[in-house]
Order: sequence, then C-alpha cells, then structure tokens
Amino acid sequence: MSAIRKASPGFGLGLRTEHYPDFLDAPQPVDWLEIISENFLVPGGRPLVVLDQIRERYPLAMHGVSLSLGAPAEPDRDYLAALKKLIQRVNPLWVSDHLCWTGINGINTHDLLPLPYHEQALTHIVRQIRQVQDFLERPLLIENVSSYVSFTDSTLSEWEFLRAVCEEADCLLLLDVNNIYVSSFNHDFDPLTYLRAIPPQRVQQIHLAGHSNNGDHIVDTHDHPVVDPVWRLYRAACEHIGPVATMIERDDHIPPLPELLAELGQARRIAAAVHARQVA
Amino acid sequence: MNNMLTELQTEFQDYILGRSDRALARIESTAALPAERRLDIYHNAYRARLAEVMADTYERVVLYIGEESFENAAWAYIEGHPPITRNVRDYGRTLPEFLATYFADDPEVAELAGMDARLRYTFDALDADALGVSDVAIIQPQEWESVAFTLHPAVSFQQFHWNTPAIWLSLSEEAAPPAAEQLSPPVVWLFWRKELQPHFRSLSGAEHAALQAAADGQTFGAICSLLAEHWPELDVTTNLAAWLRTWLDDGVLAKVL
Repeated sequence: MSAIRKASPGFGLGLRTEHYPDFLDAPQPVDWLEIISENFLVPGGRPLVVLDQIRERYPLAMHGVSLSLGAPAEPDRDYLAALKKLIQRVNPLWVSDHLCWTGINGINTHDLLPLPYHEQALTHIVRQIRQVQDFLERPLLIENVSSYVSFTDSTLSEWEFLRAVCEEADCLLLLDVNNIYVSSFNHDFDPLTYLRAIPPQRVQQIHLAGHSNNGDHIVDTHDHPVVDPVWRLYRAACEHIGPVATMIERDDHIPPLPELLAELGQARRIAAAVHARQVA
Repeated sequence: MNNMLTELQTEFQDYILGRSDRALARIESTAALPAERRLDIYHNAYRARLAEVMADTYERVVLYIGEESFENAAWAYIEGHPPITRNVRDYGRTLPEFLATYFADDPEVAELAGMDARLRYTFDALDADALGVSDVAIIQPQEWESVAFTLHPAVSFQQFHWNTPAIWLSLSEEAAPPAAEQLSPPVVWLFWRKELQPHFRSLSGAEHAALQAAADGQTFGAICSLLAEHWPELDVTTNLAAWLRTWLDDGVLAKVL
C-alpha cells in the first residue's frame, strides 16, 4: 500500500454560506472545515475572497461532486485542471469525491448514482481513479453513496466492491457512516457487516449526517440531526478504525452554528470514550 | 469502455429522464419496495433538485409568481432541458428565454428572471483590478483623445421593456410589487460589482451609448464625437467628466492588461 493516510486532524464541519460570518468573525471550536469544491470553481468575486479568508483560519478538506468516476467517459480534463488549480490555492488536507456516476452521453443529472457491483465496473472505476490520482498527483478519497436500488447485474456486495476499489486503485476512503446506515435499511443488510469489511488503514475521513425516514425507505437528505442508530454505528466505526477525522454534513434546514457544534460535540465524546477504552 | 456497464447506465438515465422504463428489469425488487418505486426515487429527486437550484437562482420570480406556479414552470423547463453543465449552479441559464414563451402574456416575468440571473452572475464574475481615480490622474491632457477604457468583467447591461427593476426591488423588500407597466421607450440598466456586491442603476441613452462605445474599444475622443453627433443638446465634456468620475468610483472600468 502506498496511499498513506494522514494523522487525524480532529473534528470538523462542512462549510456552508450561512455560517460564513460565524467563521470569519470569531474563532470557532472546529479543527478543520470541508468545502464543496464546486462552490469555489467560479470565475471570481466573493466566494474566492471568503475562501482565502477562511483558509487563513482553518485547515480545509476539498469535497467534490463532479468527477463522475463511474461514468464511461474519462474524467473531464477541464474540470480536473480547474480542480488542480483550486487545490494549489487551498493546499487542502485532502481531496475527495464519490463512488458513483452522475450522468452519461453528455448529460449530468447532478445526482450521485450507484454503480452495479461487478468485475467490469470495478476494472473501469479503478482505472478512472488511478488516472485522476496521477493527474492531481495525490491520493483521492472515495466516498460511499446512499443508494435506493440494487442491480440484478451485481455479483459483489457494496462493501466487497468498495474494499476492492480502494485496494486496487490504491486510494483512501471517505466513509459516510450515515450512507452505510441508509443503504443497509434500503437493501436490508447488516451495517456492521459492511463496516467490518472496510480496511481501517484506508479510512481518512468520516461523514455523519441526518436523513429522512419514509417508513419503507430512507432518503439521504442531510436536513436533520444525526439519528441514534447512526451514532451507534459511528461508535462501532471508531472502534474499528481508531482516531479518524470526523465531520457533520448539513445541506438543508441549516441550523445556527452552535447547534451543529453541539452535534459535533457528541461525535467528539463518542470517539473519546472509544479511544479511552482502547488505551485502558 | 465495456458495453454491459454503459447499457445499464443508459437505461438507468433514460428512466430518470422519463424516456424509457427498460431499466426496471435491471433493478431488484423487495417486498418492502418494488423496483419501480426504487427507480422513482431517482426520477423524482432529479427534478426536485434542479427545480430547487433554479428556485434559488430565480428567487424573485418565485416570490412574484408563487412557489406552485414556479415549480410547474421549472418542471416543464426540466423536461426539455436535461443538464449538460458540470456545475449545478449553472443549470437553468436559459430559463428567462423559456419563461418568455411560457408566460407570454406576462412578459415582465421573463425580464424578472433575466435580472435575477444577471445579478447572480455579476456576483461571481471574473475578477479584475478596477481602474481608479489615481490611474487616470496621470493621463496627460493631450493623451485623452486617444485613451481607451475596458469595462470590468462583472459589468453588463439589461434592457427593460417593463417596470421590472421596480418589481424586483419591492419583492426584495418583501413589499407588494407594483402592477406591471410597459415602458416607452425601454430603459437600459447597468449592472456592476462594487465591494464584492452586485449593484444596478438605470442609464440615460447617452450614458449607455458612451459605456457601450467604451466596451467596444472606442477612444475617449471617439466617444465624445459620438455623443456630440447623437445628443447635440448635451454638454458632452461636462457630462462625460461626471460619468467618468462615477464609473471610476464604482469600479465599472478595469485596468487594461
């Protein structure tokens, strides 16, 4: 293995415009922030000015939604060049995108669509990830997405596929614990089976988020606080992985910053309790 | 690229776009959730997401015509305009043109959308160093005739046939908008960015002609001649000096690279 994960920088939040004043006006108790890369792939103006000001105050991770690694087309060179330029500006902790595809035949649905889990898809996405890593000259973090369908073509489980992807592409993982939970509910598998199949040394970052439970299925909406079953799964993740950079994603119904900081406090407490027990 | 994966993705995307339901055969059904309902989650989320992006860009249009009416228009637009842009923020750039037909009886709606979009793109348009008073102070009197200016990349114009800016302002202040009223003649407004925020104001015909000529690369001397020819009653030197001062203060002009 050559992609070596960095030591955990601690606990962070996804940076959202609603909280710009909070982060610019006073120091906040977060160790790092994650930006959505696309929000700053703009020609100019305030977004980039704010980005530079935030970067002076906090380490940043860059999280993208546009690589569409699972699509047949090779990663868009213009996008990669723009991303590389942003990387040079931000000097991020790391760069991530998703194990998914977003469109085909020139269309971008702007959704994170699941792949079938079989050898052909594996070979393809491994090649794509390697290309991106070569171009960006850094390891990529790949995030598992929530899904609502399973394909009849699949011959592997999602966790077998994810494990093979990161080992064969020699990339790192952004493990979304909420997405594991959402998919386990929608596809009726044991989330602990998934979690335990993940090579711990590959996990650089964890996402936590809330979702919407519609009774017979769960949608990954990022518009609610993290639910108790996901906190329990996070505890299991901490036991499995050890100290790992953890953050909360909220993309809708965004509350005042103190509410998210309180929620992040719960992640800190769970991780600290697991760590204390492990060293005792 | 392997065909097995491409075929599946084509069919899956076709289902999302509402073009075919061939993908149904490729999806596992469970007792709790059959394949069709599973695929429909993607089908519906696609439209909801794009409609939400446009509702954010076209915030005043939503306030003006109401959420339901906007959603109907947005969904109709989405059916004919699958996204081809990499960045979701760019989706719906042609909505103003679409609304001109969709709300043909209410042309101010399309103008309002055009104004919302213009302000959005003014906000994060390309950066450039603005030309300041000190930059022009060094121009020698004999040089003025041949001096040419460049507009800042965030500067643009929009012509209004209706009292759309007044409607926009009322909506922004959460006040009841005035009744739509046709203007005769139409009025051109200037959009620019100052201290990172978009601004806009109406232009007289002469000031618009002067700025447009500057944008086209004409010299200060040529702009003076143009104004003298078309606005013979205008005190060209006094007016142009006052406009120039305002343009410099507002960052409307850019330093020539």
